[in-house]
Amino acid sequence: MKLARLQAYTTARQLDLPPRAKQLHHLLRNELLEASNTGAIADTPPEVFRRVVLLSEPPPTVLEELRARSLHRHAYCIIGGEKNQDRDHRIPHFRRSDGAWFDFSIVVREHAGALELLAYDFELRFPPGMGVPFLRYDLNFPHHDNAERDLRCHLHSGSDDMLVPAPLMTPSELLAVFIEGAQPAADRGRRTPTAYEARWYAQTHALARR
Amino acid sequence: MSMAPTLTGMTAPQLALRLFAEAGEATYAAYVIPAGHAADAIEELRDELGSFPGIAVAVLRPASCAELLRELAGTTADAILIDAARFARPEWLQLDRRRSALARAAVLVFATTPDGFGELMQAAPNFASWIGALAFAYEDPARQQSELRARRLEALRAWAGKSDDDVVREAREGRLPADPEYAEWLVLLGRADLMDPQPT
Repeated sequence: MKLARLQAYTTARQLDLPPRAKQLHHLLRNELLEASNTGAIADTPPEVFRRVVLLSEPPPTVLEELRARSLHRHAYCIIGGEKNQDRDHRIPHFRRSDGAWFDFSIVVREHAGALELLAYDFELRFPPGMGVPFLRYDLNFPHHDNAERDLRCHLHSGSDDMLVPAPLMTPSELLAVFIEGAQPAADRGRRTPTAYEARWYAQTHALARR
Repeated sequence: MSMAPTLTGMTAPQLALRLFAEAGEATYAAYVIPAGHAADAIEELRDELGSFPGIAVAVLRPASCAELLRELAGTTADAILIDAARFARPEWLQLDRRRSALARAAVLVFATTPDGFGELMQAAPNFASWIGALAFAYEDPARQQSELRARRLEALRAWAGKSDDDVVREAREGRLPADPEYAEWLVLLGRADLMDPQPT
């Protein structure tokens, strides 16, 4: 119940989004272009342009789809980098100057002159020794199921199996977190893992090899 | 019929990025668009150029060289897109003679057809030398988008071990997990309507 209240609080946040999917696409592309120009990401402007793509729904092909689409139109995906479920470094992605790398996917719908954020996943992967292997912020699409709804907006903190509640963010805010925010603290040296962590990593590794 | 040389293909976003790098300089470019597609392609390029901060874009649709020069005199935009689809040999001849009237610290893009570009090259050799290597053929982004959509759907099928039909069926039955991957899957299939609660 407390979790439900927390999710209701975070997902009810009013987001400042442009009214059109194309405008959000341009906004994110410009932010990545700026990051490229300042050296915060290692990708060149043409690479940024190739990787940030707006995809609309294809035209309906059958009568049922046509009928459904007459009521529900104008959904889009904005993608940044190729789909990469296996975290394969060879698949095109964005590269931070410290070796961290990321990609993202956003689903939006234009409705009544405004943009509705339906779903997103933003995943940032770190080089070894940077604390966790990856962080992924997910917004699930709205669902009737209570358990799904209570964790609609969540963070995977280094494991696909671990979900913790997270604030709803705009895609621009998520990019800011990935490009500027999720960094080791500058005023602290790299910390040696405690015996507990070292044992935990070893036991986890042993489990993975079974 | 005039024959245009083979040009490098560029989508509107790619050309916009290329021209943005020239902003503030006197830059002349040609964008060669299949007949009948000029209006959409110019709008696309206007959108893309206008998405860059600090770039004002104007579109001119002159019927003649004289009209172009009149309209240019009253235009201060950073990027000026000129729909030259109606220009025939006499317009290009006149433009070549009066090319100094085009000079300004802005990006000028002449959108023309393959035949029109052939005329330009023959009738306006001096102006063509201003354009130099900045002549590109319009590339429709639909093909790239269709390939990308197919690649992502394939990756989603491999990830979930499900077919498109499985996903549509589960969505109809209210059994589809709410993960963002499935939202993307439904949009790529053109079935974003199934993200809304289904009638029981």
